[in-house]
Amino acid sequence: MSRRKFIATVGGVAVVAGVSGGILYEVFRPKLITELPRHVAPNAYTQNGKSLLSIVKGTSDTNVETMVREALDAIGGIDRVVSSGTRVVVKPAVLNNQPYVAPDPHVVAEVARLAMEAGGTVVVAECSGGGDTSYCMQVQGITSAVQAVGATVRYLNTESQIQIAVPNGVTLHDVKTFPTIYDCDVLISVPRLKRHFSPTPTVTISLKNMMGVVPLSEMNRFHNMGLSQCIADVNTVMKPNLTVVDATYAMARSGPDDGDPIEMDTIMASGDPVAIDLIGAQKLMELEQQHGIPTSDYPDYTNIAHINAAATLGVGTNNPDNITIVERNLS
Amino acid sequence: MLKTKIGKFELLRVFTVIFVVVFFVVAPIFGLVYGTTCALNFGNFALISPLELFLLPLGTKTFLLTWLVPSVTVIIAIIFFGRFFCGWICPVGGLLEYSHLLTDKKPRKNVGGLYNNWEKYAVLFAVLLAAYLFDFSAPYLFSPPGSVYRALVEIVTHGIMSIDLTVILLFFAVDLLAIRYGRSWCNSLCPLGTVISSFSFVNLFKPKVDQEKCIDFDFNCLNCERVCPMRIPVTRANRWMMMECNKCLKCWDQCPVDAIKIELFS
Amino acid sequence: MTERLNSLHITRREFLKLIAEGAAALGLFKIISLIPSPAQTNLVRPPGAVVEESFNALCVRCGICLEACPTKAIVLAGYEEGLEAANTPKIDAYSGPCEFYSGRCSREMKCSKYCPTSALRLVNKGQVKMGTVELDQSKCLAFMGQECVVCKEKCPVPTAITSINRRPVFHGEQCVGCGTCVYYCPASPKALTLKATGVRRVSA
Repeated sequence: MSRRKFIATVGGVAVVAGVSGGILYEVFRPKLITELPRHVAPNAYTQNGKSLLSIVKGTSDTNVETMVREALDAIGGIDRVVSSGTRVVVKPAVLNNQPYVAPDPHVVAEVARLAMEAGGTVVVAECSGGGDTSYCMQVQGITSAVQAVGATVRYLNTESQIQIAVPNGVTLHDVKTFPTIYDCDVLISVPRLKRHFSPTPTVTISLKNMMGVVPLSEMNRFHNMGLSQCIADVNTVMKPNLTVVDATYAMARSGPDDGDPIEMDTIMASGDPVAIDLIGAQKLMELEQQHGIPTSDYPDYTNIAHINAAATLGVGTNNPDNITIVERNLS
Repeated sequence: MLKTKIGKFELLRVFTVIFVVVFFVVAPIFGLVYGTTCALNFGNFALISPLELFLLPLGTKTFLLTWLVPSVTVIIAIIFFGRFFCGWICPVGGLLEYSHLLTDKKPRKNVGGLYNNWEKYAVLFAVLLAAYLFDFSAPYLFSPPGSVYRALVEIVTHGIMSIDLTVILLFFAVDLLAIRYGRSWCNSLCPLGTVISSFSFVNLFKPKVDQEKCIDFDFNCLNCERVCPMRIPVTRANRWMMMECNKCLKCWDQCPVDAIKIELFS
Repeated sequence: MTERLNSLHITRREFLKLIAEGAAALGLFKIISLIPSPAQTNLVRPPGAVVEESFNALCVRCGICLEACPTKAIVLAGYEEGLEAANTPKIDAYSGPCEFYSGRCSREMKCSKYCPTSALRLVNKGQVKMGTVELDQSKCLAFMGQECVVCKEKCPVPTAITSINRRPVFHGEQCVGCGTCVYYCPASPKALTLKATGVRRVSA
């Protein structure tokens, strides 16, 4: 092969590679999706215009699955949102691989099982911010519990990302998420009731749980732009239709992983994530006061920035007068 | 009288080299095997390059038993199969053989004898002494197959931007020689190659010349010698020279009278 | 040219040439090894690494630890770290957090498990300190009034980072140098760097 031909061949290959690379990039570049996710819908669990919220109290011997069923029954049952063929995503707050930071695997599994019983296809999905999602969920026992009831687990950190518009956002106008979250018909949030050591966000319950449906790079962005408002903005487009809060143990004094797990034997449920955050924060504060844990470092539950910001955006209500609490005692 | 057709084994060799490279770059993703030509780990057992069996104790002034099985396994393979690695696995060696394609000239003819190949013992000696005196592990760094594999491993793990430009420069420096002289690095400088050829005692699959069919002295053929990348004078080589053989099978392919056979034992 | 194909004789001239070439190569290696490597003291090594004096002699630059690391925390040092340490493994906390203390490697360090020459060893994680983290307050979001204490949230050691007045406080003695806080720091440019100070390693 002569030198001229060699150089011509190399040049030709380089040009073809460059052009095809450019075309492929343009075709596969993620585009902004302007349609809202399907699960964004008005609260299905209301009565006389007020948000329903159930609080089920048991004892340490009470069967956890029974408490979950009672909590859902008290607000109207899971079939208000799940029917035959509904695609359901259950989003547990995994965080990392330590004990007590995540909801009880039996709670997550029971929510999944009830959704399946109502006719839905259930995927348990999470993108944990404190380590490899697959490892964390396995160590926490959530993966095996969920698979035992027949639901599938999806580790969102292994999925490709899509970008969706946030039309009503104050700080955010777009956010990256995953196809699993975008395509589902019903989003169920399953967090644990926990304190957060930072006055922002003070508590990590349902609204903060939605940090786990966006990729890690977005979490970075939120911390740069003002976390509380970003949490509220995200919840306008990633709005859980149902929240089941695991308060069998609550993490108090500090959190989300270095607090004290205190037995509370409670399960809460609501279709309004703002209301459940508000009442959850109130119950957490009462629990800490009962145990003599000082709460003066934290803002009062009515003054939590991301809860109020979310209420302003219409995600839910932070006015206790607009919340109907249904209590059931199983002891 | 040089046959210029591409031998059937040349394509197979190129394919094997590429396949091995792709395998060792892709397999770690599935956790099957980790490593490069410096050392490999298959999970339950490891293999260490034979040069390291000498450099490690010289550099550390101790001997750890964990080095024994991985490196002795490789040495036993070398005792039987000689410089097979150089011909069929080393990606740099393969590239050096074909670098003359960058010009219109063929690589310079073998001048005969082992004369050109003694430098490598000096280099090896200097390398071993440097490891002992200065704790300087030069070959790990400059080893061309090691550098190429390491660069690929880094690209696969951390992306294309992690590539070390000095690896590319080193590569081309070694390659410049090859444009004119073919496998001169392998024959005259490579310390790993020196160690390998020194252990090739049994050396299976050597070429054997049928002296009755051979026409070299009558017709001044010497095709085999001309195509041999390791510069072995095939028709006249003794057992020590044959230890350089990298089993490329070119002499077998290019002999015009089919006087050469590759035999298991010679 | 004398015919030497049937014996291993070499002429005296060639022998002297050999000696000269060997000596020249030796001199070259000596000169290269003298090139100072100032960056070497800042190399944060993988958790099971032996002390630095022995490490460069034991490491054969095979890249196995790079491939075995589940978080991609290990990268190869470049030539700017000195020729002695070039292409040896080091931790790049921007690339990934080391999970030896809490996470996928907390029971068994994968890099040490697969190292073929024992440059990295399986050690008790309580005895290991890979380095210490340093904060640059001028880049820290919390010190600029933003709501961020992600470093404390992610730190696996309970007492290494605390939070006072919405700002992180670093306690270097408890830090194990895993780099998790560095990896998750959302500031751009990052406010945290992992340095090889206070290192505790096994001897060879």
